[in-house]
Amino acid sequence: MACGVGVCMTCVLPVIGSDGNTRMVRSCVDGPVFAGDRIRWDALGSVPADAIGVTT
Amino acid sequence: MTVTLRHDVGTTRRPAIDMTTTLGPLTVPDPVFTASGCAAAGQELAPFNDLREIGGVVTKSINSIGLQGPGVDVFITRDLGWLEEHEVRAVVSIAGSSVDDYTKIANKLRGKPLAMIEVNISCPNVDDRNQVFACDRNAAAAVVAAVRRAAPPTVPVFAKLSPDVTDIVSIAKACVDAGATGLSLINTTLGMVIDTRTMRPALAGVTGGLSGPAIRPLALRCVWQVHEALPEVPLFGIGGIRTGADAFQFILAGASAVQVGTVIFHDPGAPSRISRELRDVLAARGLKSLQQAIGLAHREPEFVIPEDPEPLGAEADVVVPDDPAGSDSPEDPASADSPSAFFTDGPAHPDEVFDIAAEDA
Repeated sequence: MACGVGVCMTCVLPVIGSDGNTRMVRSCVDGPVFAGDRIRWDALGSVPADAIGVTT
Repeated sequence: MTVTLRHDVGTTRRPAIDMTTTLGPLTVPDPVFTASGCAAAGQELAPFNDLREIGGVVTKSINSIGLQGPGVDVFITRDLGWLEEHEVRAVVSIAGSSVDDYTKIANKLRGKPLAMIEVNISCPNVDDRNQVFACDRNAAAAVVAAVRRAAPPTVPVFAKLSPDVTDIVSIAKACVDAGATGLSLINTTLGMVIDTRTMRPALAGVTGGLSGPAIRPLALRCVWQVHEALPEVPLFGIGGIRTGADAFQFILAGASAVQVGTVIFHDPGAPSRISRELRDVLAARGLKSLQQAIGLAHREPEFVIPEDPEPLGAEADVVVPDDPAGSDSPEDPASADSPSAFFTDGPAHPDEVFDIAAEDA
């Protein structure tokens, strides 16, 4: 984590929201605590193709 | 982490300096902008800066892929909406992997509240063996021309160039000939780190964009060269700016405005602080307006530089000896130093970092 205020995007990770959709969220401002079963552990370090806001 | 709120600091002394600058058809009251990729879309920096008072916010590049961003449509409704509502000038950075990509995004920005489009051409071109647009004058010109055609005619279009080229002036000329209003100099330079524990590249993408104070002299050289060749073209100076004196160097080299990026990661109030410091530096040099200082280093001074009552403190990181010819004056420590004194920093920020950030794309 570089900035801690939500601008550098180095701490993003794929997390499943209550609507069932995956979003890339910043652990510094959207976390730092997440429910473990909401985290896409298999996709850490990448941007899953089905993440919301990621269109091709 | 301790965060110092800076917005109420330094308001006691505010010299009357006209900080207005122009970037083609755009006139702004202050020359300091946030750099793309270092401020998200601005909201997060509002607690630390008066974003209406600085020149504006350059948003993180949007493209049709999205990367960590929310996608173009969400960006337009949510982020551009927020900036408009809070009267913050928005410079929208756009990226793409083909000329067609850039055209699509520029088309989407028609009728939207933005002050400027910055074209991030440091992206691989899928139609040409992933060659970076910014490294080829024809590819760079093709993107700029396409964006200029698609963008709202009244909105200035700036091309952000990569320093990783043999001759930045030829790329700059190609972009201007293709219709760029101005140029943003520079994007990150390509770097890498090898993890000596794993003995493998430390970054997932193997290489990444190097930013921060390490690239400032490189960026300054690019601004100097391009301003010398194209003195009428408005330039953003970008690269490792941490202080008002750093920004002043870019203005003197020919930049009409600056963008600050990496410094925000450890000082989120840096944009407003640097604006205040730049104002003080101009006042200390006897200048009445920012305009007077633009490109001044290319010319012999036409006025008497006032006696420096004291060094500019942490900001004074270029030491100019009174007598460059080198007479031995013991009262002037700078001239007694080795030539490297010209490039070493003064009292540096203790938390100075050299960052390799993810590519700004």
